[in-house]
Order: sequence, then C-alpha cells, then structure tokens
Amino acid sequence: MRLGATVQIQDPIVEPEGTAAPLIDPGLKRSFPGMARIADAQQKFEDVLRDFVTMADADTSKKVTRILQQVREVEPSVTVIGQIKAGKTSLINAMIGAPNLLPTDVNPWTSVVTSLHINTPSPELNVKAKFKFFDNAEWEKLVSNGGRIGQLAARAGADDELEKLRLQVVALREKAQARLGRKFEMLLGTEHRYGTVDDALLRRYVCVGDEEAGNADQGRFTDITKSADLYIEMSGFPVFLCVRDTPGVNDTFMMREQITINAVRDSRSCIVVLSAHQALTTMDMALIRLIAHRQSREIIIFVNRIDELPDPASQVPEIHRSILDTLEKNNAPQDIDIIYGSAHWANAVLEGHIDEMTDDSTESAINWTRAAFADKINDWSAEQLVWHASGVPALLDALGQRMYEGPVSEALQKSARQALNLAQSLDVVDQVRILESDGQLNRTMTPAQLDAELRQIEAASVERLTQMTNNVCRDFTNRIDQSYERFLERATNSLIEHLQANGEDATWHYSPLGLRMLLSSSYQVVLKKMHGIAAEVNSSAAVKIADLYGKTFSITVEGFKIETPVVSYIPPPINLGQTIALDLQVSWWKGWWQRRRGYQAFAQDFHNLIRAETDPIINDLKTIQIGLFRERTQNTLRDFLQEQHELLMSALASSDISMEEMKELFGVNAWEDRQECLASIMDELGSYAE
Amino acid sequence: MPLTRKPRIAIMGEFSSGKSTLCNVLMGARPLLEKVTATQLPPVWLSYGPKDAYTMGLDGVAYDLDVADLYSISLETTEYVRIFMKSDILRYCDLIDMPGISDPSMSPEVWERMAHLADGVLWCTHATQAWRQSESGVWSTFPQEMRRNSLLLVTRFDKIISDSDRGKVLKRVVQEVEGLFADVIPVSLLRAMKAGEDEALWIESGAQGLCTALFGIIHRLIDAGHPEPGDDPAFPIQPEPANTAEVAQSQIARAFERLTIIRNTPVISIKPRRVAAGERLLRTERPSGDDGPAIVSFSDDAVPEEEDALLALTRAPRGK
Repeated sequence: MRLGATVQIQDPIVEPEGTAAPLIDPGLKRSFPGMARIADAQQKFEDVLRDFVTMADADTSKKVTRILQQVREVEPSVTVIGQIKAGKTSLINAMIGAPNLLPTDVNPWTSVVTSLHINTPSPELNVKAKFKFFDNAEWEKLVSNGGRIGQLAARAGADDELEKLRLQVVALREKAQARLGRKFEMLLGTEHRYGTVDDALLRRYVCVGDEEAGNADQGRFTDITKSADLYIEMSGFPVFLCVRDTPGVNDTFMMREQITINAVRDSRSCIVVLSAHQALTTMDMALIRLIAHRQSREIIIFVNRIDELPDPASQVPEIHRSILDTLEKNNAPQDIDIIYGSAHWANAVLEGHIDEMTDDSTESAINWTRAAFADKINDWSAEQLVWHASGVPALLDALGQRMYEGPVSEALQKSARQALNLAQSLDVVDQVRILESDGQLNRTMTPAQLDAELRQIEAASVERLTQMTNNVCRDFTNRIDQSYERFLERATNSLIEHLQANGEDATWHYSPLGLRMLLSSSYQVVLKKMHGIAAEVNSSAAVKIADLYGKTFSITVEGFKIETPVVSYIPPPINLGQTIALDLQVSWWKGWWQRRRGYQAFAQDFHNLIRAETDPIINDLKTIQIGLFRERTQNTLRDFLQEQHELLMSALASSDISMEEMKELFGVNAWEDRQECLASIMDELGSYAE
Repeated sequence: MPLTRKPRIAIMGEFSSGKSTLCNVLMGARPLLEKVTATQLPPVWLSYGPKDAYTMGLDGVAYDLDVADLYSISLETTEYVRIFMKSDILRYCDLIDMPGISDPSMSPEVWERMAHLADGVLWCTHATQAWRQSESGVWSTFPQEMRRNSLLLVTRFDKIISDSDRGKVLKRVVQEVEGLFADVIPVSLLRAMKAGEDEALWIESGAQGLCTALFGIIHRLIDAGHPEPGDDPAFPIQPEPANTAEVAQSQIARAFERLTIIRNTPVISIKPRRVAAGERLLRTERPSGDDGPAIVSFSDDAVPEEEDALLALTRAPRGK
C-alpha cells in the first residue's frame, strides 16, 4: 500500500519570478519528485547528443540537432477520469502547483476535455489557448439521438432514459441558441484561438456556467466546445507534460459521458479519481473496465477527499481492503497503485491557507499525519506534513515513475537508436578513409548503383511487411468472426434454456465478460504477431543494409551493425471496454424484457441486439486498431529506410574526402581524439538503445 | 380503507451515503454499524416490539437470529432480517434499512425484491456528489406513487463549507429532482448524532427539519388509506405506548411526541363533526411465534355516517 509516504530530499529551490502565488515554503511548491527524474534522464541524454553535435560534420550535426529537438519535445500525457465531483479538477490544480488555474465549483462544472500543456511550446505562434467546437456531423449525432448513450438506451428499451436525453438535447439546443444567437450553428467546426489564458476566458469555454449567477458570459461557448488546449509555462516544473481534465461520468446530464470516454484514448497514463467516502462503485468499475485493456502500470487510482473522513487513520486501511477486494472480484488488472489523499489539503498548502481549514478538516489531517508520517512529526513543518498528507507528492512521484519507464524511456530508446546509426555511419566513413589512406580500399559501387540497390531493399522490405501483415490480419479477422458467431450462438441458446426453465417473467442476464475476454485475447495475439513481423522485417532490412555497407566499401568493420527502429506505442482498443447493453443494470433490461412475448421473439431480438451492440466494437478492432498498427509499422520501416538511404549515400560521397585532407582539416591529434570521442559516444548511446 | 398497519419507510441510497447513520439517528440506539465501505447486509426490517430477531430465508422460512451474529448473515440465502426493538421511532413506523445501490459486490436483486414493501423512501445522497445518474436511474424504476411519500436527504451537508455553496448545491438538486420527491432535506447526520441533549445543535444539523418532513409523510401515508373524498383528514395518531426505558430520551422521541400533539389537536372546526372518527392505534404486524402472522389493525372500527354533500365540497380534494 502506498500511503503517500514518499519522502523526497529536496533540491535547493529557486523561486520563480513574477508568480502571483503567495509566499509559501518554496520547497513544497517546487518539489515535483518523479518529474525531476524524467528531466534528469533527458538532460543526461541531451548532453551525449550535444557532445555528438560538437564533433560531427555540419550535415550530421543538423541531423543530431533534430534528434535533440525530438527528445526535448517528448510530452508524456495523463488523463484524469472519475465520477462527477470526485475532485478531478482540484487535483490537477494541486498537481501542477497552481491552485486556481482551472475553475472549480461545488456543482458539476467541467464539461469539456481540457488538455493542459505544461511548458510544451504551442505549435502555433502566440497561441496559448485553443478551443475547438464540435463539427456539424458530431453535433448532429449528439442532438439527433443523444449520441452513444441514446443509442444504448434505445436498444435496451430504456424509455425513461431516452425521454430524459431527448429533453436534455432540446434544452442544450435552446441554451446554445440563447447564449450564442440563432446562428450559433455557423460556429460549428471552427475554433477560437487566444494569446493568453485567464480565468474569465476559461469560464466562457469550459465551465457549465450558471445563468442566474449574474455572469451571463460564463459557459457561453461551453455547450458547443469539444476540446480545449491550453499552453502554460510553469517555471520550476521540470518537464513538458500534458494533463487532461475530463467531465465526470455518472452525471445526470448524460451527454458528457462520451466526451470523457473519448479522452481516455489520447493518453497513455490514467489517473482514476475516487471519492474516499464512497470508494469504487459500479460506476467506477465501469471506468476501470474501460481502461482494463491497458497494463496496470498505466493506471493509478487516487482516492481523493480523505479530508472528509472523520478518522482516516483507521478508515483508509478499511477502504483499501475493500477496493482491493472489489478489484479482484471484478477481474481488474492486478497491482494497480492506489494512493490516498486530498486535493483540498494540497491546495490549502499551496495557497498558504492551512490555518483556515475547517476544524473537521484539520482534525482529519492531524489524525492522518499521525498515522502515515509518525516518524516525521517532529522534523517537518505543519505545511510539509499537510502537503505530504495530501498524497499529491506521492501521486506525482508515481506518475513520474510511470512516465519515466514508459513513454520517456521509449522516446530515449528510439532517439538513441537513430543517433547510434548516425554515429555508426560516421565510423564507417572514418574506417573507409583509414583503409583508403593505406591504399587498401576498393570502391566497388557508384552512387547510382548504390541508389539502385537501396531502392531494391526498400521495395522488397515494404512488400514483405505488407504481405506478412495481410496474412496475419486475415487470420485475425477469421478467428474473431468465428468466435463472435460462437458467442452469439451460446448466448442465444442460453437464453432459450432460461426461457424453457423459468418462463418469460424472470429477467435474465448474460455476462459479456466472455466476449470481451475472447476479443481481448485475440487482439493480444494479433498484436504480438504484428510486433514480431515488424521486428523481423526491420531487422532483416537492417542486416541487408549492413551488408550493403560492406559491399559498397568492400570492407568489414568489427562489431558493425545497424540498429533496428522501434515501433512506437499503439494505444489499446478503448471500445472493447465501452458499455454495451449487456453490461446494463437490471433496471434497463427490464424495459426490454417486459416488451417481448414468445420465445422466438426473445431469441431473435436478443440476437439482433447483441449484434447491433457488438458489431461496432468488432469493426473497430478489425479496421481501426489493425489499421493503426499497419500504418505505424509501415511508417517506421519507411522512415528507417529513408534515413539509411541518406546516410549511406552521404557516406559514399564524404568518403571521397581523403584521409590526408581530413588530417589537414582536424590536425593529426584531433583526428585521433575524434576517433576516441566517437567510440565513447557510441558506447553511451548504446546504453540507451537497449 | 384505512391503513391497517404502520407505514413502512425504506432507507435507500448509494452505499456509504449515510443510510446506516440515518438509521442510527432515527433509532436513537445504535444497532447497525456505519462503515465507509459498503455494508454487506441484506435489507434490515426494524419494527417495534420486545427484543427479538429473525432472518427470513429465500426459502420462505424464518430462522431465529442472535443480533450479535448480524454480520455473518449470508446474502445468498437471506431475503431480509427482521429486528424488533423498543425504539421510539418504531412506535410510529417500521424502518427498512436497505443495502446501498452501486455496490459492485452486491446484486441489485437483494434490495429489489424488498422494494415493493416500502410505502415511502428516505433517499440519502452525499452532498458533495449529490444526485448522480446512477441514483436517478434506480429511482426512476420505482412506482411514481411513491414519490410524494419520499424524501431526498442531502447528507453530510456540513461538508460544504460556505453558505453560498450550500445554496448552489441545494438549488441544483432541487431543480433536478423536481417532482421526484416530496421534499429535499439537507442534513448533517453525524452532527445530529453528536447533538445529544443540545436542541440548538439538533436543529442546526437539519435533523429537526427531517423529523417534521418524515412525520408529515407518515401522517400522509395513514391518511392516504382513505380514498373516499369526504373522509376527515386528521384522525388522531396514536403511537404504540412508549417503552418507559426509551421514552423522551432522544431528540427524535421528543420531536415526534411534539408533532403528534400538534397533529392530534384540532385546529378550528367550522362545523361540528358529525363523524365519529375512531382514533388510530398504530400496531406492528408480528408474523412470528405462536401468535401466527397476526395483523393488528388500527382500533378504527367506527363506521362513518353519510356526510353532507355540501360539507364534502368545502374540503380540499385529497390525493389518491
């Protein structure tokens, strides 16, 4: 159990200039434990690349600088999800050390997915805030049938829910019209950009708004806003980071739900925020199901609002046991990290207001601190204690660790391999020069011949990849279709058996767990095969190119090999976890059930219902997921071949410069230094490329 | 027909929304533990009477129960638990403490099969996350007639600090549940429990408001037993005689005594009543033991005389 008890040795801190934040113990505010580790790793890697730049020729330098840029711009991202009013927005404010950045309220307030880009430079000059509106098609889909939820309600026969949705849609349309004028539909599909981010601006686009609060501008564009991208500079925050805030699920305004579900796809890490007084409801389980096809390392559960527990010291362990129990019973991914804390406490510390907390809150904080940080009570200030009790440092630490192990390490590996290939080709050219100066070189190829050979390798590799992928996809499609038919048959048979045994009055439920597991395992199998194919084709292309180096210069260099490229991360299929009619609670099913008579009608309708509900998921797997994979592997291969093409051609060209000329350029000693330097850079890069 | 038994009030809501605390506040005793995590108990049906308890199995057989074993009851085989005790609130109505909804480890069937027994519901929703879709979805499946006999309690209201925030939350909830409940009552049950003898604290916690509203519902439920339009609306209510050990010890007892007196005191009668209305003694059905499933009704055996048509017209029409 992680109880927020991570203790960090804090670095000397430089308080940033010009921040409006009140003066608090700077050590608290500027300690982003796990994040610093990422910054550190990036820094070290950049140092190696910078050494490389200083010793390389102009052309290579340019390429290394590009890699350097790519490393610097790595932006790990995390999506924060949870039920309404779990405290997602407050938690995000606390995490980035800006207590009032995103607006919060006692009523559900966030209704747009807001991507907060910390320190990442905006792709557009002078644009710090960008609000995208729904396009016509999306808006139509939303207002014509209430989107996915409406479809679900219609299929399950949940008339009340449908009626409610219909009313919500009407209200939504009217509100949009009242706020934006009759021609508000002209705004659809466009976006608004701003050069600064401020509170009033955010309130116009991302908050629900409250018409009677006297501020008519609040929430003016919210209804039609699909996403917000904010670029914020936080001096002191050590890395680039993207945090996505989402509207809560389980809102009576059901249309916000789909917005959240879509946002989950965009981030690799997820923080599921629960509320301590009611940890892990069926709704939370549905959320966890949604992200269950990820690895457990990509999920962190943050149990917020422990400040509202009268006795956290004894209640937290009780909640913890119960959460573990529920997760296990529901086949959730194993070993999810669970952190307990309170965004309220963290923000009180950040604002320097801990003495203004209510008595209950203060008592809880004391109670919890005594239990979790007993050994620090005498060493730490009150602020430090409350800050750690808030769980936010532990959360940042855990998150940083995940990002370090995941996207950051992968990005470093990918860049290291690219840089290593650059270094290798420099090395080859150097070897060629040495041989040439010894009069041993025998150039066997003209640039034209080399170009032809390379093109041949390219064509053959791409062809091979395509063919192998096609085969695997065909198998996968067949396999999925077959098992899907079997599932349908089993479910329908089981329904008929139920009807024969119990008659029509008893409601019956068929768990979709089997289908999900089946689809999920088929997907895992095909994923593994695809990775295998990509690795095989890439490495055989690398071997052919390495041979070509030898052929071009008629040499063999000791230990020479071409690093194969890394296929970048493929997001898991989200639709697999999407709620389908079979997941619905009995209350929805009843409507469906009560409207049918006769076994035949039941069986036929049921069959159709499952088909209608699951077809999109199957199609999504077969086309979108597989298509994504196809595209990624093809692009990786093409980029790699392109890069090698350039390298080899330029190696051939630059090997025309003779050793004598080189020595004149660098001086004899410098030449030897260069050799040593290159060797050490290759060594260092090698450690990242593994 | 008059209601021939005590009204049954079910306590419902998501798990950890304060149902057990509410039960404890109402009972003035503490028979059920309250827990942050979901309480794994079948529905508990509390009635007035000498200490006694049994579990009703799904096999339709009642089994004796030692209340100390309450937490080892099997959910798979038990329909509900029935506990008799002499607690003030139970002199007026039966309480059914339902398991929480949205508990992933508890099938909704556990409370669904008991839901039809309730006349009214006290629905607890946690102030900081009040009235979510999962609650609204379940409540929409309940019979519409129940709505006017049910209250939405916004619990832990003290967790919302500022007055303006309280106003905002309440405003939203009231808007969203329009027509779904007789009333929305903000309440801090933990504070009510801690209030002890301090009446100011009791009132401040919202418990007093809750009592008044609950009494109103019990009152209405009993009256609703009279579908005839001419019936006198206000038969005196007479609870079961108090247990000398319990009576007037709790704030809840005092609140109810007071409300009973108000209710039973005729306000102004325009015309002398020609109907000899019987008074209503609320009794508990006791289906166990040698008494058999005896249902003791109100001592209301006086037959009302024909009422004058003019008089009937002057009375406000009563709901069905």
